[in-house]
Amino acid sequence: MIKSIRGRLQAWYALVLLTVVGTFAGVLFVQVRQARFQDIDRQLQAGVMYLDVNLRRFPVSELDPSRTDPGPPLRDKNDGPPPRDKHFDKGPKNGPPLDKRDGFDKGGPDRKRPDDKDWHPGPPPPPKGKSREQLLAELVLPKEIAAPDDDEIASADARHYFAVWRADGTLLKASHPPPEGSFSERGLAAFSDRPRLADHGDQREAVMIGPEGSRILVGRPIARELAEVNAYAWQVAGAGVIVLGIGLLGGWLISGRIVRPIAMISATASAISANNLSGRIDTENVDSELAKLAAVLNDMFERLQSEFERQARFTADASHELRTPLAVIHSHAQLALSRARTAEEYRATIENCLLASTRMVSLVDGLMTLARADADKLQLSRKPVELGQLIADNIAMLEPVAETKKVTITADLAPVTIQGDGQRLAQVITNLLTNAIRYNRTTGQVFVKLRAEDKDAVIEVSDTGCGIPDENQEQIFERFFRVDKARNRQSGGHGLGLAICKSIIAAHGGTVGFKSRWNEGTTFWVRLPCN
Amino acid sequence: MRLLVIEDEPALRRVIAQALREESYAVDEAGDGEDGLYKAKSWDYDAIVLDLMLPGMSGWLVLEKLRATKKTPVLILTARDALSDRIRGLDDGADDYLVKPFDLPELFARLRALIRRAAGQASPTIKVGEVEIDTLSRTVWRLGESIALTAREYALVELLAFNQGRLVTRTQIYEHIFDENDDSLSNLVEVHVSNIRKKLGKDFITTRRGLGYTLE
Repeated sequence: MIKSIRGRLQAWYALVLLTVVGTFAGVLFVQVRQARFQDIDRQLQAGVMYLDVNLRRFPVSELDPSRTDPGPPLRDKNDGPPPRDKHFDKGPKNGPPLDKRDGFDKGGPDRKRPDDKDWHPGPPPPPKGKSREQLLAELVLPKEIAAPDDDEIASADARHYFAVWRADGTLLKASHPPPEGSFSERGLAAFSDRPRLADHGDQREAVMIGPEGSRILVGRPIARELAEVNAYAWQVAGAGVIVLGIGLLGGWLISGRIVRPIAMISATASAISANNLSGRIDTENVDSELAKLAAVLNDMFERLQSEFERQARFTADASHELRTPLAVIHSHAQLALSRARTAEEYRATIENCLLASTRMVSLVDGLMTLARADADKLQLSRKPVELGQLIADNIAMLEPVAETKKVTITADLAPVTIQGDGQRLAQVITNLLTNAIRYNRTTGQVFVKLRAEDKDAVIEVSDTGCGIPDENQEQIFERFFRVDKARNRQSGGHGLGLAICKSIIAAHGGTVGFKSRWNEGTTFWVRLPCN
Repeated sequence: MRLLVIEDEPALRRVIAQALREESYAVDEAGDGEDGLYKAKSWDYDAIVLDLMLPGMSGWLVLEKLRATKKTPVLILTARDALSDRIRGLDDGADDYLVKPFDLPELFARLRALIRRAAGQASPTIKVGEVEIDTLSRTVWRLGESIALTAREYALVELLAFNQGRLVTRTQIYEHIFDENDDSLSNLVEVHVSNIRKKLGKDFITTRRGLGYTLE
């Protein structure tokens, strides 16, 4: 099976074109051939009918070219044209008259006739007073048929011939030269009581059953006509092949034009790889049907590119965040070992290493949580969780941190129970509260609210901090995004907190969002379904 | 030799600075790009250790702005290990690139190489008359005999040796062998010079009155 669109288009096109050209050429050929043979056929039929009518003038059984005794004279004489004896090889010129009684009346002239319209040589006059030999001698083709025009008399390949056999298969009369082959060679089945046309080799013949079971055959060579028709057939075939060739070439070019944009699209698409996602399909030079496809692909490339870039940024960030504490540990250890140190110095080194490794642990935990959430494998152990209590516990835990910054936490908690993973939800609350304290101004305030709303639990955590700048608001849930990297680094965050919150909340089927005003504060809200 | 470390991670910055000080360098520290650029432009450091992912002004930008005026050797010390970053860093004007986590001895060696090359010295050993200075082991030999110098004395000898034949002004000496936290007194240089002369010979350092010092 052809896999390429162009190939298949071409194949179908070739098939259709072949059918059209073939049909056209075939019809043309048949028409021309019919026109060419129509006159020949008509003359052959006429010849057969003429001989048939002539035969009816005497009893066929009594005519015997080999018999020498003259038959009884005929009652009527006829002044018909003398026989053209040049075609005859049998029968004396003035034979005894043929008795008319046997046979003539049996199948009289009112016997069935062929289609009279085309039948131009009229019925011969009744034989009267003619001998059998005379009659037999007169049994020839009329001049119009034997040699319709003088030019063709000369050419043997247009010469008509005829033969008449009796019912027993003996030859009664034949032209000179006689037809090739015998009566039996043509077979009885070939004959019927109406003129029937058949090709016999290079000859075309009309045959018919005459009176008393006689068989009449008129034929002529058609080699010249056949050659003409054949030559014509070759011309038509040649022209057909040329037309087909031009058509197929044109079709190939047109299909090429159609396929070219597809090739261009596929070339562009294949040039786009993970290393080079910046390529785009030129939609300007593409037809409207393909432009849509190109636009869809471009859109996909766009998303792929941004996703790849996001991924690359994430990897770079994660690598940076992991390498930095690693570098701290490594350098501290190397420095400590470079020479003998006091116990104090070793202690400081170990403390620094511990701090760095703690940071790495928290970072790795965060990354693992996110990786699991990405793979939908967060494995929440859902149990009824009283959110009010959970939040209150978290506030109590973070009070000491808040106090160091002189931040006061005010809570307004309605008892709401939801189905969820208490540990993960506590992670969310801790994160939001820590952020609210961390990004607060000194002596600022944190408000925590919990209420039930439309079968949802709604948590709001507001601070009186500096707010999130407008240009950063879209990125705030992105991994490793930090509004102020320096300050965050010093306060121990790793930039994954909000991304983790969002993943955990999403795993619970909830949503998270925020409102922020620069220099006034930020309110994060979390909406969690109760079951 | 005086170095600047621009690194936003305080723990790492401290340990690098401490390690370099133990290697007898005068070390200044900067915690972000702006501060780092300001210091890098204000003093003639012998080399700068630069982190790329800095809050505020990134390391790339610091490098670009610094290169507009200064030729100070810069060693990029970063967690970004991608080939494209390394190429970009070197093409943007950095002299060396080291990926975190790194080995301190390697950092020292690369810094030594940077300083040596900036001074036009190919070999780590410098010969001045009958005195030989080995910048690798930070030792000074005179007539095949090891001479014990203090860290400051050695730093001064090394500075003068790297600028052999050229005049080293007092300001240059202050800039290169003391860091920003040193409470240096003007006569301190005189004390060091006099001590060096006692150890390495009277004619080792030539004084150009009112200008500075030179090693002939």
